[in-house]
Amino acid sequence: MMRGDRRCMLAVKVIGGVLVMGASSAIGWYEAERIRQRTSELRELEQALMMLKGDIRFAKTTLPEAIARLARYHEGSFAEFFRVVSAELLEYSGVSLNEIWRQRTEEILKGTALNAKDREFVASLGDMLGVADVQLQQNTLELAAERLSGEIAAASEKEKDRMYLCRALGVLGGVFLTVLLL
Amino acid sequence: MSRREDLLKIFPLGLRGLLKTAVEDFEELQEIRLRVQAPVLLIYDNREYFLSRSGRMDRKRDSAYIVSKEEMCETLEYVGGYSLYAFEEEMKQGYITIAGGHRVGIAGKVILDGGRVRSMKNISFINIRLSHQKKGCADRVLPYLWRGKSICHTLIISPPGCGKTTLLRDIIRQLSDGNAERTGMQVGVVDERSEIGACYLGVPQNDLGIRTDILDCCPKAEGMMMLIRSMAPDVIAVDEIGLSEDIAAIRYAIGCGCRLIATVHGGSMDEIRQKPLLGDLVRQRTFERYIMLGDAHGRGTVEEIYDERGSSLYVGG
Repeated sequence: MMRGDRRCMLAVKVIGGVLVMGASSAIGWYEAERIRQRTSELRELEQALMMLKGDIRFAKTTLPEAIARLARYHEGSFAEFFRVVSAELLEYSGVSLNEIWRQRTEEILKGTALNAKDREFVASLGDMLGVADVQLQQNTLELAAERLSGEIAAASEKEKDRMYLCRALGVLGGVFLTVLLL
Repeated sequence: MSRREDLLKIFPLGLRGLLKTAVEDFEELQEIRLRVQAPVLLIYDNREYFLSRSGRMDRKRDSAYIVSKEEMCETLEYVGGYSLYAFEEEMKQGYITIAGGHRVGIAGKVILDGGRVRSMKNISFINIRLSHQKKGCADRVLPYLWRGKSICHTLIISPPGCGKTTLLRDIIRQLSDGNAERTGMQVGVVDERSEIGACYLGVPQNDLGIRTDILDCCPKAEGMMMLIRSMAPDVIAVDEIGLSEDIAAIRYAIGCGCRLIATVHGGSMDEIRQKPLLGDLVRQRTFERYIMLGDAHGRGTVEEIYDERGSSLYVGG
């Protein structure tokens, strides 16, 4: 084989290796970012629940209105979800609240960093909303917020380690693949 | 959104479709009664009909549409705007006013707290009374209520369901708006049962005129005092007076220079004279006009108008 060809092969291998390692590390970084994102989305949700509770407790605002307010003031990942749900509730299309809530959770929140268990928790919130007693409604929202804060505490405690693990796995996976392919 | 749409949107999709096809003229529909595991009843033009499964109004029970428990729950969810907690106080009274001014009466298992009604659950009976504002129904009456430039203290008397509130509503609207001959007056309304203005989330669903202030869901006696202090009305309007504190508040309001338009349940002038406290007001000639309504010649017919001495000014029929 010509010397030039060998050089060319080596260059291709190096470029390939760099690409594989780069892609693998990027996946690791992306997964780490999703872990961080999940915690922050859980916090956003907790805040939204507290706001909803405040609206119900002090102003007895109806849910379509209270959720529309959440959509206006909320700038995070749930703004679209709240906007769609409140618009649909205000239409009185003949679909019950828990159906609308569940359906939109599955459709819209799929794009967030929440995992399947979190999304099921959000979907189940729809079953708790709209009860006949203000006190009961507040209590259920408080209970949900408490559960959420437990989840947030657990997520933030492990967040750093898991992010580090994801990044390290990404880089090391890339190295391993590169070695294997070479 | 029209009143028909406001009404239909409280029903589950199935019932919504049936009602749409069954009811030709929603202006003639007076009541819709839902009971779990029982037929849907419609009171239309003073007659009772069953809502049939094929979407017609039927006199026969065999083909009647039966309401399920789920449909009842769904209806209640829509009645409360998905937020029954926001209507907790109304539920204690046993009714909720919805958009369009329609009134939804509810019955079920009552939850007590210290002997007082706290809430209701397992609601299995719903009665929807449709609100119909009849603009212009006071046209024939109003000329009799003026004495010079001032409106007389007026009491509208009729048995239940004969159109007292409808007439009062139109008197309020016309006094408030005014016309080419008379300028509008500031009217204060104490709407204890949310029937006059039919406020939904603070917004009156009935047209009560441009110069009308409404104290919604407020006890009459307290409300009259509040209005006098806060809104300086020329006229105060209240529905269904009767309690001793109402009578005291009426005296106070009249003493403050307000004109008063009120309604009361009753079959005749004599019956009103015999009422313990209200009778005193009649004998003292506090009211200057009495409008008697009846249903012998159709709902809301003005049968007679009297002045303070009991002399008849108008005989209808």
